[in-house]
Amino acid sequence: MKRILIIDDDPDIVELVKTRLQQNSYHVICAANGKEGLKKARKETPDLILMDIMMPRMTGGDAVKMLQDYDTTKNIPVIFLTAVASPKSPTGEENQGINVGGEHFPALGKPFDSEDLLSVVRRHLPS
Amino acid sequence: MKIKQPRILVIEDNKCDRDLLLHILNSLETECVVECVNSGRIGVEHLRKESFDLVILDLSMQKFDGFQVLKDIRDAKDKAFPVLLVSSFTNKEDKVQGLELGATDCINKPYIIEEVRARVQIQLKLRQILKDVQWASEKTNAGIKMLYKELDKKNKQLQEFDRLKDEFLGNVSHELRTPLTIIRESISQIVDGLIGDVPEKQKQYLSRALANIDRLKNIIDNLLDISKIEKGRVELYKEKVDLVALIKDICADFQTKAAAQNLELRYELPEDEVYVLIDMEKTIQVFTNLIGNALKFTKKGNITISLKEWEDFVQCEVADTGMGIAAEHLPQLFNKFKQFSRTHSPGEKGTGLGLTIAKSIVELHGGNIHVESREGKGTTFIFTLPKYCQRRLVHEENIDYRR
Repeated sequence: MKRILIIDDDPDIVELVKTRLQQNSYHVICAANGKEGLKKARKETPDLILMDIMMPRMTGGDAVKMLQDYDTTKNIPVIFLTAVASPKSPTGEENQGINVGGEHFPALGKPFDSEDLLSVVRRHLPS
Repeated sequence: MKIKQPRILVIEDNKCDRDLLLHILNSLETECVVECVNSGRIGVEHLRKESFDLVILDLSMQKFDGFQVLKDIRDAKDKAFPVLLVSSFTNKEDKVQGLELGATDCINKPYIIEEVRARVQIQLKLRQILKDVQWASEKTNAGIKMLYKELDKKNKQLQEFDRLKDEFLGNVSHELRTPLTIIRESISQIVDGLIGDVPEKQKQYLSRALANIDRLKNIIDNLLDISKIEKGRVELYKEKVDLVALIKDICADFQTKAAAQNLELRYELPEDEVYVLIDMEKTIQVFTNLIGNALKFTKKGNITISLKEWEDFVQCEVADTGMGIAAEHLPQLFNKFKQFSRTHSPGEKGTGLGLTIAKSIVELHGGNIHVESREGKGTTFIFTLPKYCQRRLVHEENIDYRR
C-alpha cells in the first residue's frame, strides 16, 4: 500500500483528503503544519507528500527546501495544494505548478475536483 | 499686474538737459518717479541695487564713456529694462553701436519735446506689457507646479490603493478558496457515496450545489485573471503551435455538451497544418470562452469554428446561429461585468468576464477581436493571432549577425 503524507494547517481539509485517499486504498499520514510534516516525513519516509503552501510559521516552500536537505526525504515527490491562486490548465486538472528555488513542483489549486486530485497523485507516485 | 509708478533713472551730466528732461517726464500722462544722477558710475551703482522701468542715458558725457556705461548697466540685476540713449549723434555710427550694445531707442539732442514724450511713453507701455506677460507666465508656472505636485501626490496615493487592492484581492481569494474546498469536497464525498447511500433525488440537488461551487471558483479565477491582465502582469509563453490540430482538440472537448443541446459543433479548417506563435493555454481560454458563450446562447442550429490564413496572421471565427445581440449592446460587449438580458437555460450563468478576458488575451498576442451579430440570426466573433513565421525569425537573426 502506497503511503501518502498530507500537510495542511486546516484540519477539515486534512480530514477530507485523508478520507478520499483511504477510500482509494492509500495509507495516509497527517500533519498539521510544516514542522510536524518534516518530522513525519523523516520518520515515515512516505511515497508522496501533499502539502499546503500558506501555512503559519513555516510555508510549504520552506518545508520543501528542508526536505531536500535530507538524503532520506529529498527524493520524495511533492505536490502542492494551494489556495493562493489556481491558474487553470485547459483540461482543468493540474495547474502550471509552483516554482521553489528554481525547481518546478506540480500543484493543484483549491478547490479541486477529487478526480483531479487522484489523477495527479497517481501520476506522481513512484511505481 | 499694474506698475504702480514707473521709475525712471536719468543719467545726464548736463544740468540744462537734465532739467528739460525732468520737465518733460513730469508732464507725461503716466505719473512717474524720476531719479537723476550726473555720473555714469553712480547710475550703474543705482541700477545694481534697485530696479527701474526705464533708463535714459546720455551717451556724450564729459567724464564718462557712454558706451562703457551702457555695457555696465546691462550687467544690472534686472536686465530687461529699456535704455533710451540721448545724444546729438554727430557721429552716425554711434546710434548703431549703441543699439548693438543693448540700447532700446535713441533720441536726438536738441530735444523735440513731443518726440521725447512719445518715445518715453512707448517704452513705458512696452515695459508694462512685458511685466504683464511675465506675471501671467509666472502665475501659470506656479499653478502648473502646484498641479503637478498635487498630481504626483494623487498618483502615489492611487498606486498605494492599487497595491492594497491587489493584496486584498489575493487575500480574499485565498480566504474564499479554503472554505470552498471544504464545502466542495464534503458534498463531493456524500455524492460519491463515501459517507453512505444517497437517494438519487438528493444526489441531483447536491450535484447542483457542486456545479455552483465550481462556478464560484471560476469567478474567483476570472477576477484574478482580469486583475493581472489589467496590470500587464500576464506573461505569454509563446510557442509554435499547429492551430488546426488545436481547434480540433478543443472542439472534441465540447462535442458532448453540444450534442446534449442538440447543436452541431463543426469546423471549417485548412487541410494542412497552420502554425501560429501563441501562448497555448491562454489561446485555449479564448476559444473556450467564445465556444462556451455560443453554446449558452444558441438554441438550435450550429456553431462553426473556422480559420483563414493571411500573410503574417490567421483569422479565427466562432460563429453561432443563436439569438444574436442587439446592435445597441455591441459597443459595450467586451466591457467587464457587462451581461445582457438574454434568456438562457438555468445553470448557464456566466461571470461577465469571459469576453473581457478573451479580448485581453488576443490583444496581448498583438491581435484584435471584433463581433458581428444580427438579432435572431446569430453572432460571429472574429479574432486574429500571429502566424509562426520562420522567415521572420531568420531575418531577425540576420540583423543581429550583422551587428
